[in-house]
Amino acid sequence: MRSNYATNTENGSATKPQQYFEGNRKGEVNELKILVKNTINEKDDKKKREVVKKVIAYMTLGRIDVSKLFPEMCMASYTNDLVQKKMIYLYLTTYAEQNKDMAFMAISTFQKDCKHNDPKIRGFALRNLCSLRFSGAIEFLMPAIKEALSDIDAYVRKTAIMGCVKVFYMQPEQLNNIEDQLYKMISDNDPLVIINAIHALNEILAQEGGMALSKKMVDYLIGRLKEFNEWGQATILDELSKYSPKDDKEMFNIMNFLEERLKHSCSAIVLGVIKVFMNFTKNKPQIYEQVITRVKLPLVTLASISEGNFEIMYTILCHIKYIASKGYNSVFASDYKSFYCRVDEPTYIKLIKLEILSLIACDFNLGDMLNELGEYVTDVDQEISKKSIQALGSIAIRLPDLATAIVKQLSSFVTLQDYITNEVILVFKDILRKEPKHVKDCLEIIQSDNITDSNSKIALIYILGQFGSQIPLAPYILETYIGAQESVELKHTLLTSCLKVFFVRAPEMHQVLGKLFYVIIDNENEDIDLKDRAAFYYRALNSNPTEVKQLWQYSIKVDKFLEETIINKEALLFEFNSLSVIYEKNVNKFIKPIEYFNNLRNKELQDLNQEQQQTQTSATQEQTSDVIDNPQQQTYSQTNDLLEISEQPQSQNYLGVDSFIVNFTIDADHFENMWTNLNDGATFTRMLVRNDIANETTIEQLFKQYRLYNIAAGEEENVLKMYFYGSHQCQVFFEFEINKNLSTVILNTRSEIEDQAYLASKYVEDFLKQVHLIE
Amino acid sequence: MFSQIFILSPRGDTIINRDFRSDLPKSTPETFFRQAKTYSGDANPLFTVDCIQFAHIKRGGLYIVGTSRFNLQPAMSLELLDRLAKEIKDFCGVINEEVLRKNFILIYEILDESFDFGYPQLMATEQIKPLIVNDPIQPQPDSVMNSLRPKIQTFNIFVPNTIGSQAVQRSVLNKNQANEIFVDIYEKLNVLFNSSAYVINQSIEGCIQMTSFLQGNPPLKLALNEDLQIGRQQGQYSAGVTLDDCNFHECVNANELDMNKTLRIQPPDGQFVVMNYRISGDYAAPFRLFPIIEEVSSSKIEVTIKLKACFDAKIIASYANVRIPIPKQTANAYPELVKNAQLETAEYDSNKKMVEWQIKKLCGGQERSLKIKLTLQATQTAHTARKEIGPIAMNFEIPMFNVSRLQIKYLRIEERGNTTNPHRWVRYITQSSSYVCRI
Repeated sequence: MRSNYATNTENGSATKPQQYFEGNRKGEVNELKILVKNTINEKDDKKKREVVKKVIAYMTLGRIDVSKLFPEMCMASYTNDLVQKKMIYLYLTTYAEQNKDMAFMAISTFQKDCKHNDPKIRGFALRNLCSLRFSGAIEFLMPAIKEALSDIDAYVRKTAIMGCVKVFYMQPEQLNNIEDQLYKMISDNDPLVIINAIHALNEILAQEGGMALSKKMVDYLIGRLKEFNEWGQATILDELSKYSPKDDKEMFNIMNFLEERLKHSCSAIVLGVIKVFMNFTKNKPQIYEQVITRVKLPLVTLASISEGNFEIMYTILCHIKYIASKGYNSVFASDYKSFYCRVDEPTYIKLIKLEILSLIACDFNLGDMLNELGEYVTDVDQEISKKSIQALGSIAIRLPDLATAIVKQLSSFVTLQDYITNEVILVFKDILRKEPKHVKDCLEIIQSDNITDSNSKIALIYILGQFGSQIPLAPYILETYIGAQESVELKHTLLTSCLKVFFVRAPEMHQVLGKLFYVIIDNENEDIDLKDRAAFYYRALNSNPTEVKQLWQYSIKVDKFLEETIINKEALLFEFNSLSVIYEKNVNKFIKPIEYFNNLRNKELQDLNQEQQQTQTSATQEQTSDVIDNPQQQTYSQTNDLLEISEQPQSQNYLGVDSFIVNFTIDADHFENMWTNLNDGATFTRMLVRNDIANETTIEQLFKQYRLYNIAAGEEENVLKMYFYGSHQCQVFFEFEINKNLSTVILNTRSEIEDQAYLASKYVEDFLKQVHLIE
Repeated sequence: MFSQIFILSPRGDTIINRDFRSDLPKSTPETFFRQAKTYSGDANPLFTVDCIQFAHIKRGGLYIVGTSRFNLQPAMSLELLDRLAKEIKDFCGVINEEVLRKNFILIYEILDESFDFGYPQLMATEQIKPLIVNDPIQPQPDSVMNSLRPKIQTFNIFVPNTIGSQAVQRSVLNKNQANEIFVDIYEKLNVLFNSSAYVINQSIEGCIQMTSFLQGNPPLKLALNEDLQIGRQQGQYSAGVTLDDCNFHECVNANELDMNKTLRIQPPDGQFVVMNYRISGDYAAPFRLFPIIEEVSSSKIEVTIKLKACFDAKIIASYANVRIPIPKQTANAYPELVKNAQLETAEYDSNKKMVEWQIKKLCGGQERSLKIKLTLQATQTAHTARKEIGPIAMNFEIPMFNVSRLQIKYLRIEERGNTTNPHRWVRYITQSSSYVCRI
């Protein structure tokens, strides 16, 4: 058998089967290759364009390796048609890294175009030449770049500067003190040349902290600021924020000049100006506060109108929250209505608005705000509802004088939905830790039957234990939790709380505590740690109850939560107008040096190679002619392959045909019901390769071989739609669509467990590849 | 700066994928999509996975994503993606999955001129136009793919459904372009009524948007109301139009605004927003809602809603939709329109527990009403269930009407050469942003 033969050779030598597989795989790419070859001599540019476009389409879809067409595409690059040239260059730059030997062929075309009469073509060719990512290109690169740096056309010059950065990442020593020339180019006439020179210097000199900024340079850049486009201005403002003015006069001069930019509708510029202001005045608290007051209006305006651009709005809101959390919350207090949630806003906007509201609440806006937050509690979106309860809680903690009204409002939510009560009790726990006097207001809520969430139950038990003397029903509520099926964490809290109440209300608790000890100690399967604790308390109480009681008497009042102080300290270090403000994380938590990413890329490349080897092995085990092979046998022979096992340890993230239940059936109603109620779990779109087998019966048979069963099918205007299902750990449902007009295959997978949908989708993709239905 | 820029379909398929720096893994589109799906609503525009930074915007259901290994300027990266989306819109006419798939080569061209090694380069439509060699391909209106694909909700809130908006949905590359400019004054209203129809909060967010197909980008002069005032002083009352604050596009010179209420504009090609403004003061709300709730019995509730259009009879709202959430424990709900109601529908969606009342056309001064009869499940009483009714939200659009009375007095082309006088189209459109009545 052919497949056996292939497996044997695989074990025998590593190189020989490689060729064999290649021959096999080439069948699919060949068609395209021949097509390209034949059209090179074609006179009609329109036809040629279509062919090149097809190659780029395959390239975009990914997964399809069109890199083998490299020599043909090199040949095709000798064209005068700019439409084709652009596409071919895009192809060449994408695959040059993988085709180093051949890439030289292309270089001569690039070189010729770098000397073209038209500056647009010169710039365009140079940009692509610099993007050929292989070291062999360098020797051709540097001369071209050097020449282009002094080109008469700005388009070519700005491209050449970016070329320097590209070379810097390939062979930095080739640059040969290019910095001086780049510094000189900052005095270029063209704004884009200047900006690119700044970017280039910042990357090349990153180790020394980026471009050096003299007073002369600052004056020069500020003087020309308005010549730059939005992005240029934002870049220059970022540079300015690193500068420290020599004296107050210079500082005020710069700030006065920039102030008018706060009227700009581009948020990048407004935030850039604010950053300059903040950095300049950070050691002058009084002026700093004036700055914050001055920038409030443009910030609030950007946060309420961003041309329906919620993403920008979100960024601005994050920055407002950051300023407010640094102790300037009173600045925004009078604008509280701007931070009310609107019906058309996405959840992420509403959540951050709620955080801002909780920060800027104060005596004069609290009345309105409580009503507003109270309305959000009944929002259909549970996330909003929970967040508004948390907001109320944090206001109560921050403003103890006004807490009574909030606590009263919170306790009024007791009759509402479960998730609301669950969240309220969590918030109550924190409020009571700080202000125990509010315990009388939560008497109603602790009797609620709606406390269903595990964390909320723990919070409830904690409250009962801590305030047992003031809650008449405490012993009886605690008793209901004894012996219940709950988490170990909850039982630990229960034990502690029961003891606490016992010390204040011994007569009532005596029996309850005894029952608890019995239930814990007598249970064989109980957590050993919990058992030990219970046994320890039991013996201690037996020997000397008064002493144990003394041990438990301590003050619980919290003045300031540890979390509050830590957050504020860290916040001081955040860089304004950077991702730190958005993530609320210190920069070293999410930025890694380039080596880290090189490792990621290498690992990915290795995985890809392994995957390719794997698919190649399986490809040999099947002749392309017989579409429906026996899948069981195939997986069997695969596991027999020792080499395969040693290279690729059995992972759980892979579904084999044996994972699925044979002849699993469901009825159409069930399918329809599940399909409509589940969300899209996984989906993919691929190019259809084999039109000949794309008909209903073959596909149905094919899926059946892989233990996925058809439930409905239909074809209309060359679009075939089929529905399948199967079951392994859970049920999975598929919508399979072949569009012969567009030559695409689309698979939608849905499952109750999203990960499983994804795995199942991979599984189908793999076997479709094996029969070469898709690439 | 950006390492890669890619565009994904709502299902997560890659439509465009450009790697500028080759310093990040190739699997970032999958990483992005997986992470974005973990959010219950829309994903945060900025997040990080494995120390890779993802910035994205959602336009026409598509994800436009930029990745980076640097600590980006957040606002700038999102503004850049937004600018890219606008460029695509300018060149292709509209932005949606089908158009992008058809024009992917053109979009690669735009991307290559807009970014080099991930840094923004030429990003103005008129700067890129001479460098583009591909022509846009218009989608066929009724292709098979269109009817099969689910309708995707667009998130661009400033796209009105008004007739005539088709005119601006075309490419700047169109050779037989008329020499014309479209000016739209959009106002989005935000009104919050309490149960006694008293306004608790109201504001207007407006903008002057232009779509320019002018040949040669001639400088423009735009004059606004003479009684315009910017900046609201506490306790000061003014009879004119008072804006709380406003901001301007890069191409606008607002130096003369205080003096003679004019803006000088050097218009780029395609669509841009000249000016954004915000008004928080009182204004007459165009619609008033009067809900009445009656507990008929312990298991039955009747909700009556009256809607009044409080604007001039000559003005017609092109649509007005009202959504009324009803209790989760509702067994059944019957919305009843008044007899002989025309161009009106009311439907109960039992999955969402929502009654949707749609009115196609509504003239100023008219009044409409709707009665909903609710039957509750035995587990809840009418008294507790009534708390769950509302808040009522309204969506509407009123063409040729604006609440703020901000007006364009004239729009002049400053140096008119030999060319014919270009067409100038001015429209006023008022839409709801958040128009809510609490019960």
